[in-house]
Amino acid sequence: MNPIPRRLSTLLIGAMIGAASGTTMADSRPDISVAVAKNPSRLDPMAENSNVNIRIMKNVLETLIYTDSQADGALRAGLAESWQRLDDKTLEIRLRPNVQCHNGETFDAEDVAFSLGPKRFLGEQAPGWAVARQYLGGLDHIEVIDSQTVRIHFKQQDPLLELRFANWMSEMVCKDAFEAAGSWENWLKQPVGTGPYRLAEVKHGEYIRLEAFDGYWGEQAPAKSVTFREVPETAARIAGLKTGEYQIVTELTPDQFGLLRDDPDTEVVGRAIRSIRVVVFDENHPQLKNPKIRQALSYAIDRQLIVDALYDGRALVPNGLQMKVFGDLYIGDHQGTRYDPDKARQLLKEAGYNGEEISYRYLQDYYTSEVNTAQILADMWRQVGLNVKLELKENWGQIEDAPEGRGIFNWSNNAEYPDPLGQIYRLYGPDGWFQRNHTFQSDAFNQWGEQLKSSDKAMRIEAMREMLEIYERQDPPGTYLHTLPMFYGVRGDLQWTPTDTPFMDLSARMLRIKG
Amino acid sequence: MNMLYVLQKLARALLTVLLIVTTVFVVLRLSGDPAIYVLGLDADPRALDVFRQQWGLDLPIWQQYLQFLGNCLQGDFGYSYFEERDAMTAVLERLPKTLLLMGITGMCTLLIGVPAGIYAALHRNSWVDRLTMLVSVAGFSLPNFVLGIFLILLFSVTWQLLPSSGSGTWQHLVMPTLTMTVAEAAVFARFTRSAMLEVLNQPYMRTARAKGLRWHQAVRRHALPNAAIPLITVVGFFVGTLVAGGVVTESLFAWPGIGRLLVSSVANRDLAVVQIIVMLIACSMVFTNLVIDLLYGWLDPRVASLRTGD
Repeated sequence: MNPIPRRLSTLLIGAMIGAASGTTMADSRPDISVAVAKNPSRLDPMAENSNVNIRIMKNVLETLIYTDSQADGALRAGLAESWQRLDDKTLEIRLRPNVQCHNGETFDAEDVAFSLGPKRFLGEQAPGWAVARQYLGGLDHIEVIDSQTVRIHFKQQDPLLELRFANWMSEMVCKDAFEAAGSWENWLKQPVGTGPYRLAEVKHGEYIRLEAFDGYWGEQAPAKSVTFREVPETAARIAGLKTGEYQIVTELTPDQFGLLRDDPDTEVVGRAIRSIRVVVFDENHPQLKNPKIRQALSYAIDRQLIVDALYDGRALVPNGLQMKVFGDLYIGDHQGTRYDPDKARQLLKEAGYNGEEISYRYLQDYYTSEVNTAQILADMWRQVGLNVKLELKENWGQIEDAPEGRGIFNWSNNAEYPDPLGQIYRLYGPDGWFQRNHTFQSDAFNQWGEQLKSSDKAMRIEAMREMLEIYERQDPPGTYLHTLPMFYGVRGDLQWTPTDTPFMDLSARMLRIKG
Repeated sequence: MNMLYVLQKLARALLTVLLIVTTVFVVLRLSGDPAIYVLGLDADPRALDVFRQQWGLDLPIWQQYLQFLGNCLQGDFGYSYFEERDAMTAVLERLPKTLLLMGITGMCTLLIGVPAGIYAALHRNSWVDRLTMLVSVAGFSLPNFVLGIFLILLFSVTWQLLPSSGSGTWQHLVMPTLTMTVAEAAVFARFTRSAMLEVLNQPYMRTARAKGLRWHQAVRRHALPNAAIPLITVVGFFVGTLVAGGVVTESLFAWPGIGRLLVSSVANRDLAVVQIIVMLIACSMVFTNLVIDLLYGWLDPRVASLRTGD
């Protein structure tokens, strides 16, 4: 038998070591545990419109266009390599080549057409229609040009064309996997997409485990697996973070920061998400019919005090019901409502208010520090002479479906697109909850809102300016308090940057393992 | 004990379950709309209507109730519209975890509480008696929630001996069991002690001693069986307190049992799931009390003869 030549044996040994070290490298990625208060029940976002769904599932199902929250919401290539508007109603998308689905099939134009088509979304009989309609309801049809190109046609002109495929409900799924699931119910248990992680295991009430998808088109996921464990109690989540059982914990409130601040192994991260916490006024209430009383309610609020007292100064008082992420549509010189109790008293006097009771309904901390905020607000209003009665309710139905006696209530205004059409007009326009439920009616607001749909930037800016004035001073349907932040506790060996949405991006874009 | 007596008891038990289920149905249906929980606050009204039609939530409440009862009689306990699957599957999946926690807690409670109570009674006014009662009052007064957090701080954060939450290993069981056992064992110790003291002062105990039985023989043959009768009553309540304690403890330690499922399903108005859990709890309570009733007759022949009119 001829001995193996020395050079060849060196090469073989080298290759073996290389292979071994390659395996070691793949295995050396950590398994990450994230303690969350709640996991989603339905895993396709088109079946459950919730923060807890988006938090996890955008790691599995990707959008055509990626919103870069580290660059003020700039749009980047996602599953789409490039895109262009053919006209105000048509978007042509060129897909990234060689993208693999978690089941091994190649992601192409047919998958895009399927994701938005009648078996999943398009049409009133489609299972995803009810939930996703408010985001993609303007869609007319999808045209497959070739395997890498699709044209998405809308019924009417839409200034948000690109944004609609970079945000809520536009996550793409893989057709073959959907059809293999056999039914919508089965599909909801195991959606298949193209993201850096694939769904590995779901145990209702316990955990959802994702595993790194090695066929991912982008940079490999930094964690071998991520397990989102349901731990409803904050105290238990914090304890688990301190002991190292969890590497990330969610839903921290500022009063808990102190518990982690002194621990060298943990840190608190978080930022404002694209949402503004507001209080809403029901114009049908006998006292709130008068805009002067609504204005007085707004002037009586010391917003900065609330932010400092309850959020450790880590939330912001916005300049009107708008966000900087709106870009050109952010009206920087708009005058927000300042804290002016004297002005509030004067307005109440002009309105002839005589201490009649106004109800304020709120829930047990559905929003962060909701109870404390309600009590502070009631006290601020009391100081200017308003008689606000706090009414704690058990659930939303008791606020929404019970207009009798309803005065003030809480809400958060999400900018579901980084554009006023995704926030102020979506919510307070004719299709929004408030006009539909008659807590607010304003023809002027609606006229400016229609102008906001124009493709002319100057006209859009003018419309936004006017709408902010109506919201702020002329006929306030409510008033803003502060931006809503989301806080997380993170172990020191991770470097993770949260996005400006509830989505916990655990891809290589935002997560790095130290050391 | 005749068959009529058992049948009467069963009919009453069935009526109790029906009453509980009806109350829960009405209260939950009138106090929240599941469509909002599933589709979100800003959902389109047409979408909400479609959802309500799909699940029959647009029908008058009495029709929904009759439909629900009819389906139950056919063995169809409904569908969880939150989890998009059979509600019974969702509940049965969680049941073993709760039974495990309740079983071990029950065992520990009886093994600690009853002997402690007997010992305290037999050594009345000694330092052991006083200490047992002191610990018992403290254990009973301490809310589960507070004790649980204290245990987490001690065993997980400070000593790093046990996992702070979750399930899967025997270590995960220790703190939830301990949390629930402390309060339950405290109650049992107190009840056992007072039941024993009552019996120990009875004339038949003196008679037993007078006829030549040793103290421990008298206690074993006469005191313990007689003290068991009031204790059996406490066992009936015990099942109820285990369920109630389980809701808090399971939430605190992220134990994936039906207590936690009940909390989330009530919050989400996932009616079918809530109904099944409530029925399970009601049935277990009713069944336990039925067994206790029958046990009375066995333990105390006077009760049986009263019932049968012998």
